Amino acid sequence: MWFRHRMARGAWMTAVTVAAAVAMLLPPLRDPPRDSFPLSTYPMFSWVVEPVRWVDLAVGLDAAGADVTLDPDVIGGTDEVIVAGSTVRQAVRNGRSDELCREIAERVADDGPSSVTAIEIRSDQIDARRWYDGDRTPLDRAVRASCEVPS
Amino acid sequence: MISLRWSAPPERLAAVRVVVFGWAALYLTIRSPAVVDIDASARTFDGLGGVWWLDDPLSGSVLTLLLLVTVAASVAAASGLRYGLSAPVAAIGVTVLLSHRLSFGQVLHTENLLVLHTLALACMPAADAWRVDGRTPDRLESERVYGWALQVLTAITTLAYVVAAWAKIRNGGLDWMSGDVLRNHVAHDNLRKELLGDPSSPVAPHLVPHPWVFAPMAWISMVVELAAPLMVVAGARLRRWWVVSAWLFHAGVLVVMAILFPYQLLLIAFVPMLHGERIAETAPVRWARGRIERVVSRRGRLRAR
Repeated sequence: MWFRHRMARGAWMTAVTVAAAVAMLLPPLRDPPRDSFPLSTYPMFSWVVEPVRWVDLAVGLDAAGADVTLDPDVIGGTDEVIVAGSTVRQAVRNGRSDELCREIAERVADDGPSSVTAIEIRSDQIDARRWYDGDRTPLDRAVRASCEVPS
Repeated sequence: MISLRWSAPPERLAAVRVVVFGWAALYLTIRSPAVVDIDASARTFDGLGGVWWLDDPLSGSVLTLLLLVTVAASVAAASGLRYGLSAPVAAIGVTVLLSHRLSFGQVLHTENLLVLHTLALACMPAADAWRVDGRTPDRLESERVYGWALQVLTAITTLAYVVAAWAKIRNGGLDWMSGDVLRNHVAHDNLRKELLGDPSSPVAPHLVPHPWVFAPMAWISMVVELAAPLMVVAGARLRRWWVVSAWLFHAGVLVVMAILFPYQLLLIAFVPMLHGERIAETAPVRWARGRIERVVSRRGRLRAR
């Protein structure tokens, strides 16, 4: 038997029900709403975004200077692209681009890709709609850090 | 059409217990590298939710130990063994491990319901049936109690959707409903995946050039999300329809944005609002139960000797 006394059981059921409702509804009712885990405001994809945005990137460069796409594991030591992207964004915002560049270069030196000779942390201004119309040239570019891959 | 107070047999709540804690054990095992082997050097730690009290990340050995305990407790809770102990330990472990994983500056939203369901289940009489040891309690609760538990679990699932809808209305307003915001999100999310070396949606490049596609998608997702809380008092048939809609919504998110919500796509998030005990009648579960019962009875015979 879960609760022997009916009143205790009723009080527990009420407490669990109220706690569940408050836990779910409190985060969005706070001012300002604050996202957390596991209690969340579920703000994903809710903000207004313009087609043109700055995107912080970590890319590899080969000997000819052409871009080589790095995977999330090389960029941020994670298999989740959103976390890798956030790692680059944090580094750019906190002025740690040089540090991140060197960390990525070391990972590339250990695990490849072997064609990559240098790393660049940069912010590209991209028009997402033009991108899908076939024009993948960034509108603007700011290089935040660059470093050689140690041999 | 309407069911204000649910009644349910103990097996229905037990089915939720089995799939939720079973998934917790499997998920943590599959995702163990992401949970334990965290490269914290490149990121800033800010204790979130279940680890709000931490200033620095936990060491790999502590995380490994916690993971082992949590997986073992989750398996025990799914099996109904020492549920009063195993379920709270599993729920707290899942909360701490997944909160810790997300405390490096990027909150994800694919694991919230798993954590909330384990915490809620730990407060409920979910091991009154379908226990591996074959024991049953001296006296079962009334069907109203099991119905209440399922209604609370359903409320947790559905409130997450209505909160997500509220965020879109608050942050995006009418622009969000026009489909324009959704189109830009789909475009940016997929191109970011391409640029950061992750698989992106093969469908997105064909959709983004067609703005008219996104207004119906925005409206449909808003209707599904806003209708969600009604399922707490809806009849079984309406709930089934909503579950189909919500599943299609998540399938759409996977196809268009390459974002996987496994807990929802495997229907685990929705089991509390379905007749979950019917999974016992499916062939794979019958086979598994037969194997377990054979092992349990063999062990019983050995003990008797």
